[in-house]
Amino acid sequence: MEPQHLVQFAIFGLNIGAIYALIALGFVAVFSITGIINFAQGEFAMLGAMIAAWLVRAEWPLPVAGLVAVLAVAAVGALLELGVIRPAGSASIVTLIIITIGASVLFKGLAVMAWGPDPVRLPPFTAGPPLRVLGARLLPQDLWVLGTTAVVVVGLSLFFRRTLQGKAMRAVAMNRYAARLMGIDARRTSTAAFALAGGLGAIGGIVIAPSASAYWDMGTGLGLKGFVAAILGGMGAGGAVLGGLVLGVVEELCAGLAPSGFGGYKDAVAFVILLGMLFFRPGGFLGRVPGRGGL
Amino acid sequence: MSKLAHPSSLLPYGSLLLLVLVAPHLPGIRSFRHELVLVGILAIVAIGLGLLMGYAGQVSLGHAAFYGLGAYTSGVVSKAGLHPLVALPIGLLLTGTLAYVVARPIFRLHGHYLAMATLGLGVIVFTLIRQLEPITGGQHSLIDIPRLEVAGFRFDTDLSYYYLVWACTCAVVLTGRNLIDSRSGLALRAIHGSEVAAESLGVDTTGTKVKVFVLSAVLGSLAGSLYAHFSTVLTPHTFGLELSIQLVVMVVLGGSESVFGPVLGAALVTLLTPIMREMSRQITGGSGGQVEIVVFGLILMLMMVFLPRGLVPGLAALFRRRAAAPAPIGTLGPAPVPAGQAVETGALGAVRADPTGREPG
Amino acid sequence: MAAVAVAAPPLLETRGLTRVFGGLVAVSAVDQAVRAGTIHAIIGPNGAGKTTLFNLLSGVLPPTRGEIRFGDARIDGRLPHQICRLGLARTFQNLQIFANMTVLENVIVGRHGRSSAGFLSAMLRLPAARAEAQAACTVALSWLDFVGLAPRADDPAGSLPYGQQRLLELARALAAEPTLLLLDEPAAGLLGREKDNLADLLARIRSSGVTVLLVEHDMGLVMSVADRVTVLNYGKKLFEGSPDEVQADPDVVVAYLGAPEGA
Repeated sequence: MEPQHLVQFAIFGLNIGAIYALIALGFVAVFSITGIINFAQGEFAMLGAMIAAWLVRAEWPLPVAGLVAVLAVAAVGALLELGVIRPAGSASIVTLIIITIGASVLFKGLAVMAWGPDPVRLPPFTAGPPLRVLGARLLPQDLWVLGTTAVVVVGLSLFFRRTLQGKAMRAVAMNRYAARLMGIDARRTSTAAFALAGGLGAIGGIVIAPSASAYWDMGTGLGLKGFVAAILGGMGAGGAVLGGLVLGVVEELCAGLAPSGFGGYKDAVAFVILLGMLFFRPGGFLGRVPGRGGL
Repeated sequence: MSKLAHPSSLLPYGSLLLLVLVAPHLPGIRSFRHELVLVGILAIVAIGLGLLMGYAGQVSLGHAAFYGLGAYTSGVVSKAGLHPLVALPIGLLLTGTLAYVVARPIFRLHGHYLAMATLGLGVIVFTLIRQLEPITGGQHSLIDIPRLEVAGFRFDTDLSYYYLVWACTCAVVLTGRNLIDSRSGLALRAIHGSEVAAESLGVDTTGTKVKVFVLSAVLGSLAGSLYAHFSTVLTPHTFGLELSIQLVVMVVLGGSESVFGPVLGAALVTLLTPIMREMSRQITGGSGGQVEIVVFGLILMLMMVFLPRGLVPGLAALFRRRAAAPAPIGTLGPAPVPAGQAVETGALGAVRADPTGREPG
Repeated sequence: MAAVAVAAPPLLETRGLTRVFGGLVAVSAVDQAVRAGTIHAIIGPNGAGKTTLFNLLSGVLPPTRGEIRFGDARIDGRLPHQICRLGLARTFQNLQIFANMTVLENVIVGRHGRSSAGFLSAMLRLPAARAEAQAACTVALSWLDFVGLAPRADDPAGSLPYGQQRLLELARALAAEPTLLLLDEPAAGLLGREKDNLADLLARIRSSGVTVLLVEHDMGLVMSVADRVTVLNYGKKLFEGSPDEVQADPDVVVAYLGAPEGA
């Protein structure tokens, strides 16, 4: 194994890991505010990618298409909360799990009906020759992925710490009851959390679409791995980002270093890690207790 | 217990038995024998999942794994030359052991974490089936699985296999009902009602949940074995996340608080899927969209919001409301209003409050 | 009877029993013995650690330090269902009725630890399992009769009025055939006549040979039925004696009763 191969796998891993991180942040936002694990989180990424690709095919400029797709999926997230999560009221956890699974199945079905089963691709955001880093190839799109993720993480952190809406969300995450006593509309905060999760997922789906193709079923795997990342990070925002990057790199290294013929096990790696974490260290590798208040 | 032999409580069983006996000969249904076999097979898995969801109060998103383990064990072992009736218990043992090993750590988790763990288990087993090509055939499928042959009789027609499968399904319905009405079933409902009180009365809560989990896995394996000798070809994608979710749809649709719910759910999902596909082909003009996925998604969400106890209790309440006045209000609602208070409730009677415990809070 | 009780070893004994929540010591180094055949009351102001003590004894919470002996066995660290099967049953301050069952089914669950049919024999409805279920039903009915709830046997448990739900919990715990019964504020929320009925039941339970340990705020009830009283305050044992001695002890009066006429 040449060292540049290791670097190459690390680049692949950071790339896909950044997507996991964005999706994991969506999980954390919804879980912190509502106590729900949104099984449709991966479908937000799928919808983002598909809508953007569709608009680009309709000859919209890429930046506009991307922005519209993100806003549209954020609206889908808000509608999901308003349409079924809120009417279910204080239902049992099993009920809520099944509702969000239903949503994920519905989104997949609608995507197939709207755009067909075949994969589509977005063009790379900018053209240009690959860079050389320690002998490995770094595509301009890779920089877009990492750069976008970094901007989103910083922006989110400012949002939660500087803006009124962000502070309100953190307050609800820490103590819903107390936040309501302080006059914060906790229900609107829940809607906002789902919208935020939709937007985050869509960004992840859009930036990955040029390097991996986008198709109706892409959300399942992304969602599951985003969840693994969130668990790895102890359901906290910072941990989720780290968890996503670590998961991506570990996955790529396992796939790259495995003897030939074993590359197909790559998808199981995340779940072996998931079960291991859940069974032996449910607090995440940073040792945080899973629970609310992770923003 | 004493009320079990009450004539009215035998009515649903008699009707089911009669329906099962005559269904494959009815005009119009005869051509669906193949589907009816699948209904019977999937009903077995769904009953097991229903016990887990309705009585242990936990959803499994990985039940296709147990079904797949049974199917592939039967397929591989019987292709190696052993009799299918030897292969089947090997599958049960293997699946039961796996379920037992993972159950304790899984039940240390709660709610969403538990659901995710079962999902992870499903994905891992699916990946193994797909990747262990030398054993399972992987993407190339496992083909030429021998048909079941007992004492010289070959179950090689849809009709003969139909009766074999439904004999198993009826046995599972009956034993499942017995379990629900037993000491163990009562213990499970107690756990649902108040875990701390149940354990203070001598109920080993974790142990009981583990047993239900193992039982439902073993039922999945049994159904898988039946499927292997019926289909004679196994492909990995049959046993993926989609099937796990379809199984949940079946239980949610029919309702998990009686053993009939999952059977009805299995029938509706299995029989409606090809019809919906045909309709969508006609609507979309041959492209064959996947309208059934959309419908499943809508079913899951809408049932949970409007009819969380499923169709069977809903219909039963409707029937009872018509039969017995005065009508209890809110029988269909999510709150655990005891259905049909006007009807006598036996010691372990058929009428119960919502064992899925979807009370607020 | 008192002479017999003193000679016999205690049925329940704790040594240095301690439970810490974060920085709060809820139960602090409690040494307590409960003699067989007595009604032993634990009193103390709110937050004195009474319910925590019950949760430790019944295995709901593991102790931070100390040991608990029940009969011949060490039970600290054991699980609630194991402790129940050794003969210790309890009720709850906040009612824990199985609202999803009938009154009779609630009590049948109390027979769980005294029966053994497993999944397989239940699924096959083997004769032994059926006989056992029938017997459990009969025993449960007799306990319902004991507390006076037999006429409500087939009603949904959630439909009972509050006072009867307390009695149902009592019947359910008794159905487990305990040698030691822990009652957590059995009189809370009961009306005058219901309290008299409860006092009568407690006396009958004692005379049937079951030892009773109860936490109770109602001083009238405690003083009329208890053989022995322990006073807890801030998690520590403040005093132990007969009801008369407790009422006469100046420390207790100051810590708990507040004023002499409060008793």
